[in-house]
Order: sequence, then structure tokens, then C-alpha cells
Amino acid sequence: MKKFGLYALIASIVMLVLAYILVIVPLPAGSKTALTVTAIWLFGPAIVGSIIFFKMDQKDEWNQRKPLK
Amino acid sequence: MNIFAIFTVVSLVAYLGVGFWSMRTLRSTEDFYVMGRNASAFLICGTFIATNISSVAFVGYVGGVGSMGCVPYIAMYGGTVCAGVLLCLLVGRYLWRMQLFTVPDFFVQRYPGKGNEVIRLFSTAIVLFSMIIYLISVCQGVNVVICDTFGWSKTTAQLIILGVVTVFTMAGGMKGVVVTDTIMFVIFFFAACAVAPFVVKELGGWPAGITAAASQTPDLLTWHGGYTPFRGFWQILENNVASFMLVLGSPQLLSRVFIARSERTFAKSMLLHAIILPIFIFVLLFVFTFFPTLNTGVTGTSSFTYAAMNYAPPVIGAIAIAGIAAAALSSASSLFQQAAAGLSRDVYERYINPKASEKTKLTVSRICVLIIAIICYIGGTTQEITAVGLLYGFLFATAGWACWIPPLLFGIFSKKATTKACAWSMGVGFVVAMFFVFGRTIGYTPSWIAPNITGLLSSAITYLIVNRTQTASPEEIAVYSQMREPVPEAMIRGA
Repeated sequence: MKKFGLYALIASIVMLVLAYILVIVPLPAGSKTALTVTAIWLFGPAIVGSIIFFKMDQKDEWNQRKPLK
Repeated sequence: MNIFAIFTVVSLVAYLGVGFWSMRTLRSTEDFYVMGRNASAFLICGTFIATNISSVAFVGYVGGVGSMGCVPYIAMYGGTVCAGVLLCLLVGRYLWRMQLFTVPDFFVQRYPGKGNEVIRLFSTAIVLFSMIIYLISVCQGVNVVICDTFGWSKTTAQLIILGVVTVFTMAGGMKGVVVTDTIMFVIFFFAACAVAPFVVKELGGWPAGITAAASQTPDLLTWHGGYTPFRGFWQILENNVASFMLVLGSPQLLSRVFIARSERTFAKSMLLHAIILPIFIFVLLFVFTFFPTLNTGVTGTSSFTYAAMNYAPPVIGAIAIAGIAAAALSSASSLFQQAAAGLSRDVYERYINPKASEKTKLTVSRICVLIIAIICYIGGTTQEITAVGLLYGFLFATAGWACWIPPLLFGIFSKKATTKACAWSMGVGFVVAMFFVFGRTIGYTPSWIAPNITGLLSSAITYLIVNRTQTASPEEIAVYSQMREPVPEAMIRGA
């Protein structure tokens, strides 16, 4: 089974959590919302992309021999 | 010469060495333009980030976050990441299957028949125009950084930078550019990650120092930073759209699809990019938001250089300074490569000598790199051109790319896409974008109207209107179908 998408998903979630702990937690109350949204805006696409990539791998959709839709 | 200059000079020599090393495997124009279509995911990710991040991030943005807040600056990279994922999952695989050499090749192949020649000329003109003006501004950015940091004269800095980039691009072609880009990416990623902890230490350590500094600058941590809410919203929107267009429309980034080993390799590289780029941006920009609270007395744009030279140990500081130069050089080299490819493949091979032998094409490709270097040198030493390039280079370039994004996306996803609609949308989008570029420059339009967004919208609307009056010819439908055909076995070099 090809696992690159799974590893990418784990890495992107870990990075989002690390960003929250290292960047957002030390901020005073009232300053956290904007940076939390920004962190999700930046790391979110990688999480969604990894899930779709992993599903495509499962269905063998990256097999270059297939015609594209 | 101090340790900072020594490390930078050593890194420049190393890039030259990599360029000559890459020359060993360079046999054909396919090697020169697209690295023999054999790049790994890590190399593509490295060159993609290195091309996208220039010294502006280490100088302008680092200074900007200190005065205007970090959210508007960090958030604009969301557009880059989203576009990268879109390229990864949807667009990239079609472009990869077309086995293109340059971005104009797409329009030439996808839009056959009457009007094809106009599209070819127009797309080639956009590549050359946007690459050269953007290149002049990037080279000026490098000059400013190097002159300020090492005290070299402007002419010396200009000659060294242009000389190094020209030589390794001429010698190694795309492979030279991609491998050096990846090395430069590693250096400036390390630079950002290595300097940030020392700034945090100066602030008073993590988390107490960050909490204290954040309490002193609460306004800078709002979503709109130092801007008014309207201006902040517009700034974030415009920058996100520009970042999105940069990935989906700029020749220097889009051309990275063509070098991939396979469509899956390219998709992997874009996922890596979507994870690594936000880490880099957060590490670099968040910490420097609080730099002004240290009261060093240096200007915002010199914050990173000051921190590298004064807070970090000398060796780490020296690598960090080399990292700023690397960020600037990597963007310049990719622009160089694309401008030269546009000149040699889209002008020389199409209009001057279509029957040229492989050896002649390779020689001409190298000469074209030299021609672009000379144009940049003249542009960089002419004060009027330099001023326009520095202020509006990026604006001109993104406005140029905005007009071909709709035909590119419609061409990939719509069976009904027609050549006439493509020609009209490119033309109208370009004219509208330029109208607003000059409007912003001279002041006859409100500054909040973004030329690239208006160019993009007008191009898309024109495309839809003209396409409704046309019916796709069998020739145009055939190209659409060809893009979806299974890839021949011989083309697959690994997943």
C-alpha cells in the first residue's frame, strides 16, 4: 500500500498542532483568534490535499496508464 | 573580508560548481529546458519554494511584520499553498501528460487552428516581458541586500550576481537551476530556523518573552494588523489572489510541472510544498513581529541581517546571511532560465530557425541566457528602468499572467474551449490589467483596485462570452481528448 498521503497527513496535522503550541498558546487572550485562523488557512490545504491524495492512491488513480476523466 | 562575506562567496563558488557538475549529463534541449523530465519530488519542492521566496521575504516582509503586524503577511501564503494543492490534485497531471517544454507550448498545443499564431506570439511576449521586468526587480533586490550587507559597490554586486547566475544557468540548464535552487532552499530554510531561537532568547525566552512582547504590541496581532479593517481586508485578499496567480500562472513556477518524473511525483512535491512552506513562513515572520520591542535602533528591513550578525553565533549568522543571498539568487536563476527558454524555444526555434539541429538549439539556448543577462545588466544600470522595475515589476508580471489563467484552466477542463475565446480573453485581460497597472502607477484609478484581479476577471468574463458564440472544432476537441489519453509506457520513469 502506498502510504505517502498518510505520512503527509500526519506531518501536516503535527505541524498545525506545533504551530498552535509554539505560536498561539504564548499569546495573550484576545490576540489568539487571528493567528489561529491564519494557521488553519496555511496548514489546512495540506491536510485536505493529503486526504484526497491518499484516497487517490488507494483507488490507484495516480496510475499514469489510465485515461483521465 | 569578514566571516559573513566569506561564507557568501564560498556559497557562490559552490553554486558555480553545481552548475558545471550538472553540465556533465546535459545532452539535449530536453535536458536543458526540462531536466530530461527526471526530477524527484524533493527537488521539485525545493526549487518551487526557492523560486517563490526571494530576498523580499527576509528584508521587506521581516520589516513589514514589525510595523504592520504579521497576520496580513503570513496569511498571503495561504493563496500559494491552496494553488499548490490545486496544481497537485487537478491541474498538474494534465499539463504533465502534455509533455510541454514551456508555458506558451500549452496554448500553442491546446488551441489549434485560426488564431493559433496570435496566441503563440502573445503568450511568448507575456513570458519575455514579465520575466525580464520581474528579473530586473529581483536582481535589484539582490544588489540592495549584498551592497548593504557587505559594503560592495552596486556595479560589483551586479556583475557578481549576474555572472554567477548566468554561468551556472548556461552550464547546467534546468538541472543546474533546480539543483542549486534546492541547495539554496536548504540554506535559507536553515537560516530562518537557526536565527529565530536567538531572537526569542533576546526577547526573554519562550514563552515568557513572546507573551511580554505580544502584550506590548496588541494592535499588531489583530487580523488587519496596522492597517484599517477595509485596507487590511483588501490587502489580504489582493495578496492571496496574487500568490494564487503566481503559482497557477507564472512560467517560473508552472514550468516545474514539466520536469517531474511522473504526475504522481509532481503531486508528492506539491504536498511537501504545502507542509514545508507554512513552517518556513511562520518561523521567519512570526518572531520578527516583536523585533521592534528590542529597541535596537535598526530599520525594519535590516532586522534579519542585524539578528543574524549580532544574536546568533558567527558561523550560524554567516550561513544565515548566505541564506538571504541564496533566497534572492534562486528566484533570479529560475527567471533567467524561463526568459532564456522563451527566447530560444518560442522565438528562435519557431520563427528564426525551425529546422535547427539539436546541437545548434543547445548552443542557441545558452547564448539566449547570455542575452538575457546583458538585457538585465542594461536594465539594472538604467535608473529609470530600475525604479519602475523595483516598484512595479511584480505588479506588471502578475497582471500579465492574470490574463492567461482563465484560458489555461478552461483549456484543461472544458471540452468546448475554443481558440478564438482564448485569443480574445488573453487580449482583453491584458489590456484591462495594464490599464489598471498604469492607473495605480500614475494615480488615475483608486489604489485599492487590484490590476491583477481585474485582469483575471475580465479575461474570464471575455472567455465565457466569446466561447458562447463559438462551437469547438473537431481539431480543438481532439486536443482535449488527447490530454486525457493514457500515458505511453515509455514516458513513465517511476511513480
